[in-house]
Parts: sequence; structure tokens; C-alpha cells
Amino acid sequence: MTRAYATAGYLLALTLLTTAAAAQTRPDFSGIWKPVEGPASTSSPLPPPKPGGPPPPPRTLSTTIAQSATELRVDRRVERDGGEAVITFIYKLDGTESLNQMGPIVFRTKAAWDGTALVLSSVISTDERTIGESRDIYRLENGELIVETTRQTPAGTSTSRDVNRKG
Amino acid sequence: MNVLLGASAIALVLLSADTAEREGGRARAAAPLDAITTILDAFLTHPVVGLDEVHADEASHAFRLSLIRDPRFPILVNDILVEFGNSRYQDLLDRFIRGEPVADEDLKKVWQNTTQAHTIWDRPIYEDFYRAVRAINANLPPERRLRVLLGDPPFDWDAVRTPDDLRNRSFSRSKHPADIVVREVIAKQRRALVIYGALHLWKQSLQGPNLIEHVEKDGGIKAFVVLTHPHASLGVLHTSPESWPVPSIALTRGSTLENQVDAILYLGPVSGKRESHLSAALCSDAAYREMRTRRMALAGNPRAGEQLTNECAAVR
Repeated sequence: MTRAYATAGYLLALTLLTTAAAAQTRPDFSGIWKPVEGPASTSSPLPPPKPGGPPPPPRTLSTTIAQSATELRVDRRVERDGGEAVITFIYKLDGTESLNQMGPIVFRTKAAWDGTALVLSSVISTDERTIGESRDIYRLENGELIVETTRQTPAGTSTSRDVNRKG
Repeated sequence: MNVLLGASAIALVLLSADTAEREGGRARAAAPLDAITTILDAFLTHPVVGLDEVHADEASHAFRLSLIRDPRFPILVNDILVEFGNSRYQDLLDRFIRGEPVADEDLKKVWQNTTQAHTIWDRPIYEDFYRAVRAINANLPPERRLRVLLGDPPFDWDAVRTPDDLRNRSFSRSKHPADIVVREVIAKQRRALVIYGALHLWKQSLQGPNLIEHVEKDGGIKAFVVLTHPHASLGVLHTSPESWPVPSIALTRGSTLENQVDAILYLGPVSGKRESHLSAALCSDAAYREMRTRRMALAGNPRAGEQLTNECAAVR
């Protein structure tokens, strides 16, 4: 019995230490990021909006990210008709679902690490009716924040790759 | 044994730190508050409160009636701006709400002749609302009587003969009602409940300034906005309301929604939603059906007649 406890304790400690070590290698996306215009950032032509589908994402002016061990807070300053808006999304990093909302559009998101990339997989709905899915992959490359987005809606699939620099 | 103690100690320390961090970082779940008191309290600090009108929804209507029938309401509020009325008929409605005689044939023009071709405002809950305000006023002293302001832009369907006539008519369903609030409410230092669909009330609307944003900008005030779950999701407030009393309300302060809406109203599960249907009398009124079918067709609905037939088939 004592040996069983010892083994269990050892495995638990090993698991936690391994997890802690892996967490240390994960990137920290915290900072204020501004999009890099030009060829570094690309996007496929967005399909024309269809009734019932989510609207295209607004143009981002800057993104402020605060990352802790448990969550990622993303404040996006976006352009909109007649001014700007700040949209705040908080993602839990423990694998459980996070709910965020932008106007009538609700995002149910699960976050998972793929090596040093953070993958945010979302189901998009309005009034509890699913209208699309999106997948955002965050990674750091040479000090730049790369966000690759794939959105699937009834209107089709769109992809984009946005490069951001600290500023 | 030393290995066991050492490993357990490390595990315990790591677990404790992890638990404390998660509890410290976890957003607090929203608590249910009394819906009517919370909305009335909002008028103490906000001259304009926006209340989501869930179109054709019986529970939404019942809640509105409870709110305006609360004895505190006419003490705190002067005006009610509604989406479901053509402002061309403001004088007529003022007479009706004051308790003067108005023929039913004239009164129905208020909600039947809006810019919207659809049947939503023809559901009996909307006429019922006007009659409820009139009944409340009958028991109030003149200085406390409520006024209902019609928010839909003035519109004359008799001037619309073709789809192009409709397309070429320019009206703003955001700026027009906002101008009414600025002129009739804010400039006169009155207070108003604004009953409009959620898309007119979300702050930071990505489609451009909506009604409530025009009111805030042009009127120089901060409005308090209440949307209904799930238009605004209580899940974002880390709560699931199944066990909450109906109605209840939760404040969004401190959540990611606080820049977009101030409170979320819970009127029961979506599965229990009941829709107000056209009345049997209206469905058997040939002149009404011809008028509504023609307008929906002018607005580009090629299956207008079939749609109206289906709606009337749902009438018990």
C-alpha cells in the first residue's frame, strides 16, 4: 500500500512538474500589438455576406493582450462606421469553454496549445442558433504576433494571416 | 519514504498555488437581481433606459406590463418610446393615451402603418400595450401621466405603388427615434423608457451608430441598456440561469459585455418561449389580408400571401 502511494505521488509530481516545464516554454502573447499592413498580412477574398451568416470581422486597429497562466484577455480596438469600438474577449486556457459576445454574435471557444501555438476553436451563434465556426492560431515568430484565422460560414470559407508588431 | 514525502510536498504546493490562482482569476458568476427594481433604480442615474423588445414574444410583453404597472414607474418615468408605432400618428396617440375617445379604425393605423411591411406589430400584444398605458393614466394625476412616443419614421403607404417607390423613400429608423428622445425627453429634462429591438440598443454596434448610440452622442447622456437572454448571453457572465426566479436581471459590470450592455434580463428558458399570433378577427378580415400581402410583396417578399396564410393557420 505504501509503495502504491509512493508511486502515485511520484507520478503526480512528475506530471505536474512536466506540465510546469511545458508551460514555461509556452510563449507569452502579452503586449500591445499593431497590425502590419502590406504583403506580410494576407487574406482570401471574403465571400459576400449572406442573410443568416455572421458579418465579416471588423478591421483591427490594435490588439492588447494580457496573458496569465489561466487566461488570455484580448482587447481589440476595431474600426467601425462612425468611429471605433473596443471588443474584449477572455479565453480560458484550461481547455474548458469560454463564452464571449460581440453584439448579437456569441463565440463559444476552446483553447488548446499545439506546441508553441495557441489554437482557439470557436462555434459562432446568434440567439443560440449556430451560424459558423472559426479557428484562430496565435504564434510568435521573430518577435511578431502571427494570427491565422479560418472562418467557415454558410457563405463559404475565408482565411487570413495577420502579422502584428509591438508598438 | 522521504521520496514520497518530498513528492507529495511538491505536488501539494503546486496544487495549492494552482487552485489559488484559478480561484483568484476566475470571474465571479453574476447573481440574479429583482428585474423591475433594478430597471427602476437605473432611472435614478440615467434619463434613458433601453429595454429590449423581443418581437412578438408574450413573456417580453408580460414583463413590460409588469414594469409600467409598478406604482413606482410613473414617479420615475415620463415617456415611453416604442418601435411599434408610426410617428405620423403622434397627435392621435397622444389623444388616446390621455383618455380621449379615438375610433379603433383610426387607432390601428398607429401600428399597422409603420415602415415595416411585416405582420409583427399586428400581433395583439402591441395594441394591448397602448391600451395598458391608457388604463394606467386613467388613475394618475395629470402631472404624472405617461406619454408614449412613436419612434418609427413618419410614413405614408398610400404613396407607395411599386417596389421602387419603397426603395426610393429615405428614412432612418435609428436617427429619427433618437432625435425624438433628444427633443422630447432630454431637452425637457424628462426620463424615458425606450422599448426597441436589441439591434437598436447594443452599444458599440459594428454596423454603425444605432438608436441608443445616437441618443448618447446627440443627447450628451449615458443610457442604461437592458437586453434579454439569449440576445445577450448570461453565459458570458459565467452563469446559467435555469434555477433563477423569472423574471430576474443581472448586471454586466466587470464582465466583457459591460461596454455593450448594462444588464441582461432573464424571462425564462428559450424552450418555453410563447409567440403572440395574429388574432382570428384579423385573419378573417379580407381587407387587412389584402393590405398586408400587398405591402410585403412591395417590400420584396414573393411569397407574402403564402406566408400570411401560414401565420393565420397558426391562429387557434
